[in-house]
Amino acid sequence: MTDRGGPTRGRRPWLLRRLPVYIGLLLASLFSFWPIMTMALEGADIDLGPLWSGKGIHFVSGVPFYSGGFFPTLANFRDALELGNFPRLVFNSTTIAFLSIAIALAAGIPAGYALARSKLKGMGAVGFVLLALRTVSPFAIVLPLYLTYVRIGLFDSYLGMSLAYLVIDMPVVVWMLSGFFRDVPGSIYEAAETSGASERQIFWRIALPSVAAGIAATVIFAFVLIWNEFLMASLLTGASTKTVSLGVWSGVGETFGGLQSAQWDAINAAGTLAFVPAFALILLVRRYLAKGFSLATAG
Amino acid sequence: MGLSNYVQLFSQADFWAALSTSVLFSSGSTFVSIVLGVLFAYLLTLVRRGRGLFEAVFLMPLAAAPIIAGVAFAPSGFLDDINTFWHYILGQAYFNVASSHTYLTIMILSDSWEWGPMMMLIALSVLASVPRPVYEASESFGASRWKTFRTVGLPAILNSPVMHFMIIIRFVDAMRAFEIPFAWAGWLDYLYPGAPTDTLSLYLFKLLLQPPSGVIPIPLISAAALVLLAVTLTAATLLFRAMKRMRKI
Repeated sequence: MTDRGGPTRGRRPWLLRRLPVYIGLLLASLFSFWPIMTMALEGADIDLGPLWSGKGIHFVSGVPFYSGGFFPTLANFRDALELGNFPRLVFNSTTIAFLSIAIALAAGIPAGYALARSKLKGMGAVGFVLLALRTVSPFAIVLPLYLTYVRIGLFDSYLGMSLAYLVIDMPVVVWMLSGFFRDVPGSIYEAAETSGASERQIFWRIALPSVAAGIAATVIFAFVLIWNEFLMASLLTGASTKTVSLGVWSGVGETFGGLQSAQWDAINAAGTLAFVPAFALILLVRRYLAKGFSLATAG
Repeated sequence: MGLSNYVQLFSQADFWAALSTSVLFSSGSTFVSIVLGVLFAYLLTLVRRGRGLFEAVFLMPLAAAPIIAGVAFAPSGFLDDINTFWHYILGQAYFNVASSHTYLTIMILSDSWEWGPMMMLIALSVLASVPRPVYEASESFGASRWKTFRTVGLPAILNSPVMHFMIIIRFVDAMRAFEIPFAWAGWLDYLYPGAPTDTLSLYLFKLLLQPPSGVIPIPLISAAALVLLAVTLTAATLLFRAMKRMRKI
């Protein structure tokens, strides 16, 4: 990243050659960013739509009038922060997600490595069962869990939620990591074997550093799935472990059943509040692990 | 639960419409998100300066809750911005929101907006595991960036087992997608079960909450849920097989 970049062929041609690429990047950024901006603005009751047409502002006897909705207010955000107690929800979601992902990684990295490298029969079947789990309706999982949790005291606890979410992140971790381990060219494993490295050394010194970017991608995917999970959270959490996704949906709240008159402004505000920590955590995971990757390959 | 429930289910046009919407939505969004993800990843590999910044912006949709994908692309949100641009700047006729071409396209686009960045991350990780000498060899033969990507990077991404897993899991997850169809049912006032925006899971949800005859048709709902499971599992198995064969070639 600290690379100064740029070939030594002179500045002008470089800029000209790169211009289409940067235009492409800008357009793609606009596509990614625009809906987020819309969400944040609508959460603050601002509708900039008419402005883009160039006809949003009218002058009536010299005084500018804006025909779009422009009633900036932080009321929605304040409601979410105060009534919804958002910081606590963010803390709950983060704790549950990372505890669960840590457990899944501890078991899933070795499992994925075994799936990728072992030549034992039946590995394909193990993989497929893990995948098929994903198609099962969460209803089928959540009811037995609820009954068990209430009895053994895991209901409304961080540990209980983390264990329940293993249903979601374990298959993801095992499958994605076994794929990334398989992507490491076989010649690299062979070279290590012929130079006398033990299986343990190959795993720690070669396989693990080469999939660091993959681990980051896996953690991000698992994190996003858990962060947004709604059904299990709504049944298995109580007052002390309520998660962010419940907070976002509480904008729909009591009217959820009727499907009508959902409070889209409140959803937008809560969505914006939920977006900020999630985005920060995603960037953190990506940066931290990508850095670990470049260090590992440099040394 | 008898066979008669299935007969009743299969004889309903609503059910078939919801099923085909689900399949269309899932395959469309899986495909478009891969295209977007690979495109973003390719664009990022072309630059050094500002790469971190662009990557961060591309990752933004991942952090948004799925319901936001439904809300932000609403007729009064993103689509409205597109429409004003399209109409006032380019002078074209408005997109008709109520036409199934428009809303299905936007629904697919919004789901791909959310998940494209994930595909991008996978593509970037796969590209990172391609040994540098392979790239350097290709470039030393005078191949352009695009040609190197097309002959080395792209096949590596598309043949990667991780990509195959993502394709399956995205398809399976999109078959259960709820938030985006839910939001669009709100936008277009399609609140009754069997509305044209219904995917199978939303159809089930509406049958549960707003049963047409006032009585919740539990046998019908469980039959439909089982059919959804069967369809998803079959599709996943077929995809799984196809990809296994592809990897062997």
